[in-house]
Amino acid sequence: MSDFKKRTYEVIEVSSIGDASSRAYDVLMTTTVIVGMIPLTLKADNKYTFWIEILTTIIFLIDYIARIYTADYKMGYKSVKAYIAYLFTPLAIFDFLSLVPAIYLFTPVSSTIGLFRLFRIFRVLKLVRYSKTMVVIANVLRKVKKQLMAVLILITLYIFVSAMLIFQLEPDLFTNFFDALYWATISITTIGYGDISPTTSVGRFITMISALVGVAVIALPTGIITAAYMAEISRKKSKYEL
Amino acid sequence: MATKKNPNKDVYISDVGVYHSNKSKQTFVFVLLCRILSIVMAILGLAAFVSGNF
Repeated sequence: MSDFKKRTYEVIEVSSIGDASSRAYDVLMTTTVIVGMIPLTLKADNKYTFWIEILTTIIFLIDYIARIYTADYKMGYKSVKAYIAYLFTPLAIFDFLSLVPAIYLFTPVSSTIGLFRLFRIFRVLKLVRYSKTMVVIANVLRKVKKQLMAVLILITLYIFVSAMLIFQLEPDLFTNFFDALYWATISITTIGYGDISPTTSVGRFITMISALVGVAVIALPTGIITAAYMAEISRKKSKYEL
Repeated sequence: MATKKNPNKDVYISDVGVYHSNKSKQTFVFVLLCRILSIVMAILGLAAFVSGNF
């Protein structure tokens, strides 16, 4: 039984060179993830999407059960705690969430159940396992998460302050505070749809400041991620050269 | 000199006797099943996309 469990773990994890079963499984999972996203590109379901949903659910369910079964190998220690701890790892949560869209196959369709179909988007996160590039990007983001959080808090604070200012200065322009937040976000990111635009001089002045500050603030995450990505590539390069 | 043909990887010879393993057959069946499913999924996906968008 231990040999079977070990072999199952080797197959479902990313394939090593020469392991045909694992490679075939990786290809099947990657294909299933990509095909599972296709219903999101359609306005309405058709007979093919019904069968796509059935097959993807079955495949993902088998994968999820196999991963729980081999959780002790994944976590590196043999105990009941390993199985429980695995269930709360990010990838296991994404695996569970990617099964949620199947709920609409068993219940009458309503607007609430329809929302669960959006959970299909979590399936794309399963590709992180099977793509070396995505593993590198995930490692980079993990290393700079504190700096990114700090910048995100700064941006959020600025959006709120801008929204509060313009909401007080031009109350007729907005139905509610959410509209002001929407305006502030579109201005600071320099998208500027133009659906909400200030009419007073003070309002326009706030918009100008928002746009100028936005150029600097929005570029910060890009710089942080680029620097970390270059450092990661250099690290990998020097590791191979040694 | 006699050339050796590819040895049968599924035959294990021990002091107790000869043991025949099914590992190669199991791997072949598993890989075939995965490939068939991958092709079926790809065809279904293409059919769904084309019939839904065109």
